[in-house]
Amino acid sequence: MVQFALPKDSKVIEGKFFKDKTNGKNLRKVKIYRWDPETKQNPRLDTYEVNMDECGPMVLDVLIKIKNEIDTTLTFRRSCREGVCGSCAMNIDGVNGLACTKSALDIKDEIKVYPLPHMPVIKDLVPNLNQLYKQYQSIEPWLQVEKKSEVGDKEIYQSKQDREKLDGLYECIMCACCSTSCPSYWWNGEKYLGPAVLLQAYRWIIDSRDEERVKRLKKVADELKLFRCHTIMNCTNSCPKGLNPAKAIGSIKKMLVQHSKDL
Amino acid sequence: MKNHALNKWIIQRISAVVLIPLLLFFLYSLVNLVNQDYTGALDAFDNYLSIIVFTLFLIFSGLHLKLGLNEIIEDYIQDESIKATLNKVIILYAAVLPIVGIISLITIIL
Repeated sequence: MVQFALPKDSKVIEGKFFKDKTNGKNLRKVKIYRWDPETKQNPRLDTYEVNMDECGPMVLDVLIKIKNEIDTTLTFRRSCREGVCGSCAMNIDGVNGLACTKSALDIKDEIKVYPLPHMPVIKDLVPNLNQLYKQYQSIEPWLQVEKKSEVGDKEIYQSKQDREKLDGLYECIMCACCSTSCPSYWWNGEKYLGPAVLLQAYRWIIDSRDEERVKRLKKVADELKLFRCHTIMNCTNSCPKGLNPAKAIGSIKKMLVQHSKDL
Repeated sequence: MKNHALNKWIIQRISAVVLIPLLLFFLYSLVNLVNQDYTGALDAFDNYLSIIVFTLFLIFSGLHLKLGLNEIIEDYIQDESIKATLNKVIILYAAVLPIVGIISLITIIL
């Protein structure tokens, strides 16, 4: 049965308070989820006072300032700082997004930062995404052509119209904001592929150069892998790149109907 | 079509669309029955159009109910034995209700 309540050792308790020591006037309270597997204590919500006059505008700037100047034990992933790598995906102000592209000015009152929901936490804001990557691997996200010798020998041409079909798909950076905002993925994450992986699956299904469309469709045409999507649309709402995974999933379903005789 | 999951998905969509006019007819009939006594209610069903439409309504609502509840169980119940038992209960429930309804309608017209 699905667990609706958190186990006792997962309940988030009130944490430490870090008062501003710079006598800043433009202070903001930032509440951050903290959990250290080595302490074997419950996760806690630490509060930091941050002087925004000496801080960059993005949530990632705030986190970096906290780590550099207030509390060096804070752990989070970050890399490109421009919404390309997807490393800093986290739950900010109740919505999944990238800390590097989310402005702190867009958040009213306290800034609350949690790791991506319903994923095992490694430490603080760092979730374990192994399952998602395994699922990504399962859809074979690479170009497949029958005559392997052709790959690399010469360019595989694609018309402008066929190339346009990849718009809104190729931009996905696999940050996992969509999958971890999906209730279906929360309940059935081991079996349901989730919006991120299904969007990627559709990216290869619709690619005119790929020759394994039917094989790919067969692979996802499963009650659990695909049909757990109930068009809740949280994925589309949370995508920091403005993509529409729900539409891609709908398109896969349409294609399944079109290719139903081959399945 | 061989794919069970796809078939189920298509049938669920078709039954949902078919149920729109049937449900509207059901609601219209229900409103008309508000001030009727028992004999008046029986008279309202004593024609072939009502019988056919209501029979279709019962069949499609039973089918849609079964598919919808199956989805909920698939989502929230992970224990396979509980899942199988609940699915059987749903099939029974979704079959018995329309059958009882259809038999009642037939008895009215006979």
